[in-house]
Amino acid sequence: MTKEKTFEEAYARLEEILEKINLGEVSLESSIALYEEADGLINKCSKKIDAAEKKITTLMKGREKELITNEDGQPVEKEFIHNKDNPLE
Amino acid sequence: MIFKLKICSPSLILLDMEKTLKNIHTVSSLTQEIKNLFEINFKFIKVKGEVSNLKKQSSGHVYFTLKDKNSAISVALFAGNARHTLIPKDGDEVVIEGEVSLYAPRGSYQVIAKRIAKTGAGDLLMKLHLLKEELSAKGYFDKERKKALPKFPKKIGVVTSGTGSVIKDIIHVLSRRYPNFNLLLNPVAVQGPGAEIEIAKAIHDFNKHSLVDVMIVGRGGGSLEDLFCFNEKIVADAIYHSEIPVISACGHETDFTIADFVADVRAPTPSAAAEIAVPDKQIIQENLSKIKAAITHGTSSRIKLHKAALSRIKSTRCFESPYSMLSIFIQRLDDLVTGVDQGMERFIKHKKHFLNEKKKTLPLFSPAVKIKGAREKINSIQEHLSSVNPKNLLKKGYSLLFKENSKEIITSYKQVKKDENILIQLSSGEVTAQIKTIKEVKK
Repeated sequence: MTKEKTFEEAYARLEEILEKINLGEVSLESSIALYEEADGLINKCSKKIDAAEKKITTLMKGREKELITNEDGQPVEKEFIHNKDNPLE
Repeated sequence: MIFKLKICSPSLILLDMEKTLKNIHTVSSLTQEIKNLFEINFKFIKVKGEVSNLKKQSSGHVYFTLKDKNSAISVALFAGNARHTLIPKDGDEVVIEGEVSLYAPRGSYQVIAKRIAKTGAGDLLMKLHLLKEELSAKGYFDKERKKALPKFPKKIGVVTSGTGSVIKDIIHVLSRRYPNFNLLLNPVAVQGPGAEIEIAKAIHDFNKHSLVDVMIVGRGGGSLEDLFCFNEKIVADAIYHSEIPVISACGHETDFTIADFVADVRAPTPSAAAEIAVPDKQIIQENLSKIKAAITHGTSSRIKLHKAALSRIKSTRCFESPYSMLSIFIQRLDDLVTGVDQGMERFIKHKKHFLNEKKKTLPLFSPAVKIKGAREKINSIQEHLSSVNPKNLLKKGYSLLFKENSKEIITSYKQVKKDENILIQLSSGEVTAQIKTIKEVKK
C-alpha cells in the first residue's frame, strides 16, 4: 500500500517527471505512464490547495497565562478576531 | 541654549595687527580652524545627560538640548539617523553617540547624534554582546543546523501579541498570498517583564503538542529595551531546541536580535515573515498549469515524433509494396523448384533407361548361356587340339624318326651317320631303316 503523497512530495515528483520528459530519456511507454501520473498529481495538488479552509484561531490562556487544555490534555483553540481592545494584552 | 565663541575681541586684533600682520585670521578662517579641531578631536564621542527643549521639525530632523547640573549642549538628530534610533522625550536620561560639529553661519557648536539610548542601555548592550558571544561559541547560529521551511505548511503558528499591528499584518499578507491558510496564534506579551518567559513557553507549547508546521516569532520594531525579550537566553534556547522551523520577525530591517540569529530564517519584518511562510497560491496554480502544459507538450511531441518515425517506416518500399521486393526471390524460388523437378525427372528417366538396358543384357549373363558358350569353345579347342595331335598328323602321312638305340627323336641330318639304323614310326606301326645318304639341303 502506497502512502498518500504530501503536497511537497507530489510537487517534487512533478518536477522530477517534468525533467525526465524534457530530457527525453524515457521510453515512449514510460513517458505516457509518467504523463498519466503527472496528470493525477496535478489534480491532487490543485485539490489540496483548495481543500483547506481559511482558519484563524488562537490558543486559550488562563489568568496565569497557562494554556487551557481539554480533557485529553490538548490545548483549546478558538476563533481569533483581531481587535485592538483584545483583553489578552 | 547656544554658546557663542568670543575668543578674539576687535581691540585685541587691532593691537596685534601692528606687530604681526601675518597672524591675523578672518572670521571664516578661524572658524574653519576651530571646526577642524572639533571634528578631529571629537569625532566619536559618547555623552550622557538629560533631554530638554526637544523639537521635531517637519523635515524629520530633531533638535534638543542635553544638560546636566552645570552645563548644556545643543544636539541635532538628523532624519537619516532618527529613523534608526530611539527618539527621546524631554526629561529622558540618555546616552548619545555621535560627533561634535561646528555650525559656521552661527558660530555655534553642537553634537550630531547618531545613536541615542536611554541610560542603562549600555548595560543591556554589554549583556547582549556577551550572550551573543556565548551562543555563537555554542553553535546556536551555525548555518548547518538551520532547518528548511516546509514549502506548503498546513498550519502556521504565530507567537506574538494578540493585539497590535503585527498579527494584523501577518493575516493580511497570508490572506493575499494563500487565501485558505490556517493560522494558530499563541498570544504573548512581547515586551515588559516576563515577556521572554511567555515567548519561550509559547515556542515550547507549539512543539509539545505538534500544533503547527512552521512558526513566526516576533514583534514590531522598537527600542533596544522594547526588543530585549528577544535577546534573552531563554528565548534563544526555545528557538534552538524547536523541532518546528522558526521564522523570526523582530522589528524592522535594522533591528537584529539574538532570536534573529538563532532562528532558521530571519525575516526583516512580520509582513516579510508571512511572505516567507507561505507560497503565493496564484503562483502555485500558475506553476501547476505550466507543469501540466510542459508535460503535455513534452509527451505529445514525443508521440508525434514516434508517429512520424512510424509513418516513415511504413512508407518504406518493403512495407508499401512488399511484392516488388519479394518478387525476385519468389520467382527465383519457383525457377529453382522447376529446375529441381526437371532435373529429378531427367535423372529418373535416365536411370530407368539404364535399368532397361541392363535388363536387356541380363539373359546374356545367364549361366545356361555361359555354359553353352563354354561348351562350344571347348569343342572348338578340342577340334583344334586334335588337328595338331602328332598322331593325327601321322595319319596324314607324316612320320617320326628316332635313333634306334636311344629312341632320341631325329630332327636334323646331323644326328645321323651313314649306315646307321633308325626307327621310323608311322600311323599304324614302326619300321627300321638304314641311312644310305646324308645330304644337306639348302633352303
